[in-house]
Amino acid sequence: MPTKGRILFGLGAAALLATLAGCGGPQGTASEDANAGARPGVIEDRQATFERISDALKSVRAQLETDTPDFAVISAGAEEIRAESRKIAGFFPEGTGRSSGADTEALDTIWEQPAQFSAAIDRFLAAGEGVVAAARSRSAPLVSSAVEQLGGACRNCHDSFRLDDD
Amino acid sequence: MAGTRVKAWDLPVRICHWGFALLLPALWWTAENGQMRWHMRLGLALLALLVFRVLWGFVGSSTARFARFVRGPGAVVAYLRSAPRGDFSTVGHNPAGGWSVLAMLGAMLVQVSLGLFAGDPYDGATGPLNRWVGVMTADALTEWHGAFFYAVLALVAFHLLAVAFYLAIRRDNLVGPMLTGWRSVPHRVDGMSGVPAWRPAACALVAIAAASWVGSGLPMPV
Repeated sequence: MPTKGRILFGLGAAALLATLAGCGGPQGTASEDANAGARPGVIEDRQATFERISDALKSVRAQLETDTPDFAVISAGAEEIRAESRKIAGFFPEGTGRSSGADTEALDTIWEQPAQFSAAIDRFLAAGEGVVAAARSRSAPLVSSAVEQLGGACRNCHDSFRLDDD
Repeated sequence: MAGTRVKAWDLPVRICHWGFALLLPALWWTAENGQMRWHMRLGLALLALLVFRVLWGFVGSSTARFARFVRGPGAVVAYLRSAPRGDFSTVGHNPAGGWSVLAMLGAMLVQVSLGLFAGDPYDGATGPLNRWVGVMTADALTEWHGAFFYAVLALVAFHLLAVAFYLAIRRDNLVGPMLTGWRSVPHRVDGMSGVPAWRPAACALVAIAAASWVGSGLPMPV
């Protein structure tokens, strides 16, 4: 749900759910000084980057669902994924995880296991390169297989470092 | 309110009503807090309840039936004109409330249907029918599932306002009868007429079977 909707909804929910005690839950109300050590807006920026990666990947997958994939679209998506993924490593300064109270799904394991997190990013970067290369080949099966690798790299990182949401 | 007590709501209608009242906040909470496994279980429970309520609207007791409570615009206008006075001649949904019921049931059906297709296998949980649509369609339906919640919320808020209006202006407590099934009427009116107990059991079986089938991704017999 978009963040802007949360406030609006909170008002309605407060009235509607008044009888259900304890349903407020750990709503992330990011206080301004919760991530004082980090650049302001870094959480929003990194979420925007992951959104762009997700959207670009969807544009590639949508082409793979057609009988005649448009490799120009696939290449553009692949290039965007690669460009955005290079920002990821700089997007996780200490103090921007869930324990900061911010509205984020970033688990503290990111900073507890920096080597593993770094390896997970490297795997993702390599998979992004793989999609770019496959797009150049103009072969749908190669792109499909590269996209599967990329999806696996997404999941790999989410499994260990993002709040489980399923 | 002095007078006689008559039966207004059967048990299936009351179970549906309070089931919706519990499931909607629970579905909202599980979605907001990333409890997608529970969100999907509860969503399928809501689907079963909705299927049951629609069937019950055709074969249930008198006050549950659509044919009885869905009235034309003339009846709605006439009722709304008389609403502040509080005279009534039957139990069950009034002509305005009947449309509110239809709107809420319809909105919940739309919302559940959107959720069945929602999600992305590359990013977390997916609804049981997600694989039947393309990635861009699923993406759009997921967006709508998030947005359409506000339509459901608006209808529920309107419903609660109406219930509050009845309590405050007409001095008519609608919550009690929805809990007990019985209500007081100022003068003699016909109460609800029931149906044999096998009917709710049959409807429940169909509803649970339908929701289970949808929940397992519409497997076809081979």
